Amino acid sequence: MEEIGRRDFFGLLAKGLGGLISTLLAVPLGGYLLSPVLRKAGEGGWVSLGRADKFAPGRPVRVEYSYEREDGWMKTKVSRYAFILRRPDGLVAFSPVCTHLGCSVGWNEEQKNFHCPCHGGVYDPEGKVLAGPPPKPLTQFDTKVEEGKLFIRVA
Amino acid sequence: MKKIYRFLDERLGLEAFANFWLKKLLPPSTNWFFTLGGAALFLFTVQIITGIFLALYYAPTPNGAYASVAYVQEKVLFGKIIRGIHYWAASFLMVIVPLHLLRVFFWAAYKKPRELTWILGVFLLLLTAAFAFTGYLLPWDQKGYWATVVGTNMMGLVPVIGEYILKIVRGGMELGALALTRFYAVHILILPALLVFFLGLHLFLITKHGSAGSWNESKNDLSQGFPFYPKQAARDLVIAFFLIAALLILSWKAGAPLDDIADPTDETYIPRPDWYFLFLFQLLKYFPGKLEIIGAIVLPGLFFIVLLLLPFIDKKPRRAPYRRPLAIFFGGGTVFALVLLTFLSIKEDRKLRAAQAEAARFDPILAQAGEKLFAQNGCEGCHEGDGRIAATGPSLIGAARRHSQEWLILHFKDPQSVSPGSIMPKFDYLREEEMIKLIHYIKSLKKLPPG
Ligand code: HEM
Ligand code: FES
Repeated sequence: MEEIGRRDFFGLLAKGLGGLISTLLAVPLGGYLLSPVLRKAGEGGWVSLGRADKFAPGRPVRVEYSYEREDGWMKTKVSRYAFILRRPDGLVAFSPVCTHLGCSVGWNEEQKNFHCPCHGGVYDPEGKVLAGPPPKPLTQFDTKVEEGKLFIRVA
Repeated sequence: MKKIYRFLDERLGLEAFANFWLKKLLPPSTNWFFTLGGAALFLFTVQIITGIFLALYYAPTPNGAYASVAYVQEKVLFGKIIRGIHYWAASFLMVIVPLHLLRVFFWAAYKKPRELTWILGVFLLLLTAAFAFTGYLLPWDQKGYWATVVGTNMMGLVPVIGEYILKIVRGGMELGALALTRFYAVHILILPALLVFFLGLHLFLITKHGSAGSWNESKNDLSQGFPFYPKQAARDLVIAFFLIAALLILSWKAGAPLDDIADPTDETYIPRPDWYFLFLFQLLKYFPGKLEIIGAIVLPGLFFIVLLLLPFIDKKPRRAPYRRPLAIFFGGGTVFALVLLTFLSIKEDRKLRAAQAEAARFDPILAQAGEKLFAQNGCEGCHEGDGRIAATGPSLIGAARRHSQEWLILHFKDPQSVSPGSIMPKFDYLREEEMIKLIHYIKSLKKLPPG
């Protein structure tokens, strides 16, 4: 083995230490930055939307609900809404979040369909896409009826 | 004075500094078009100063953000002006920086040896857009909130890692407290640091290589040229003067908009980005279903890759626009497309907004009369009035925005005719004026504050 000169040695030492210091910092910093990806999503909870028999068949009914949600370091009461449709086989609850890029859809009574105010997405009363860019039907919440009350599962 | 100057010069090398930055000779062909870069530099300085002042009050939490911005706007002396300048200068930058790019493009000043100057410039353009995007959320009002919902969801469309990007940008799945602090830190710490770094290099390279001057090289004889200071510096300051005057007038007369506080339950709100991103917004409408990624990721991505590589695609030394027909054709085509998309977006929204403005017209006197009618005709039996909850019928909050006046009147006369299956009785004995009073009362219904 050739003898390493003093200069080479210090050069190597400086580079090596530089690399080591960067790695030592990069690991915790990287993890810190990526933590939202690594965090597991919670199970979500059931929220009551009131009596199930108040939803008549025909058209989707808009219902507002609120619940306590963890928002990072704070707990807040958030208000959201859902559309409930009574079908022969039971109640379905649609999330109003457009499956395109997340604007809130509204029910258009004149045309009997859901309209997204952003890029012109239109869904039929069953949540299927009729027009515009949305790639998927409206998302449905998990639902259950207990003691005559309708519950949906929120994230 | 002389003595002090000499003292400092010996220690700091002021003379060499001034020779490099101020006395550098410019080609005789340097003209007013060459002030565009300086104008961008000036506007960024304005942004940094006004931004620091805004940060003295700003509180980066969902509730604090909106309240603190409203406080600056309404209570702080000159708060409206400072906030207005910061808002309008952002808009100006989104015009001036692209114009500067076009100037450099048209003059073919990106060619050897200025490729790196150009590439740094492309990063500066991206930084400018990133400033605008992150700043828009900070007031936590409806427009910022919704523009950010859409904008971050676009990032989520990136194949494979989209969801991770989305979570990292928002600090989770939903747009909430964690997203706000992230956007704030990026806006006031990370982007300014990157800006100083890229801009410093940009300016250093500009001075190092000197201005490329006219595309007609015979007009670039430096022995006929003039130093940057005072002639070109004076031109830059003339532009800066007009810019600051325009900023002051706009912030005084128009101010910066502040919508209602962010509210995910208000589906009557029409989410739109600020005007300089409308072209992208419009582009998304043309790519349905699985193709959405083309408008959101592929086309913008290609655009920036071509911009970055331009100095290596168009390498021949010829610079005159008429000798680069292909480059000018594509450049011009892109500008045309961007302007057209923006125009189409505004045009398509005009109808939507007109309908909404009509629905929003509100008369408090009619509303008061309507409140009496609401009680006298037993509406309260089924619908909630102010604060009272009666569960038989749906909430009327926002109902007058969700439906047109014609619809509501038909509905009063015969609810089943427009809403089959409705159990609401007919109110056909009401006169039309009375119905309009009721509609105005419904418009006055506001959600009670939480708690
Ligand atoms: C943050 C925004 C920017 C600032 C503050 C800025 C600043 C400047 C300044 C002060 C100059 C000298 C005066 C002039 O030629 O106008 C300049 C020149 C130049 N800029 Fe920028 N710039 C920015 C963005 C860009 C962008 C987006 C590009 C292109 C992609 C670009 C490419 C260039 C080039 C190639 C030159 C040299 C022009 C020549 O030598 O004739 N810059 N810039
Ligand atoms: S977000 Fe609904 S159509 Fe784009």
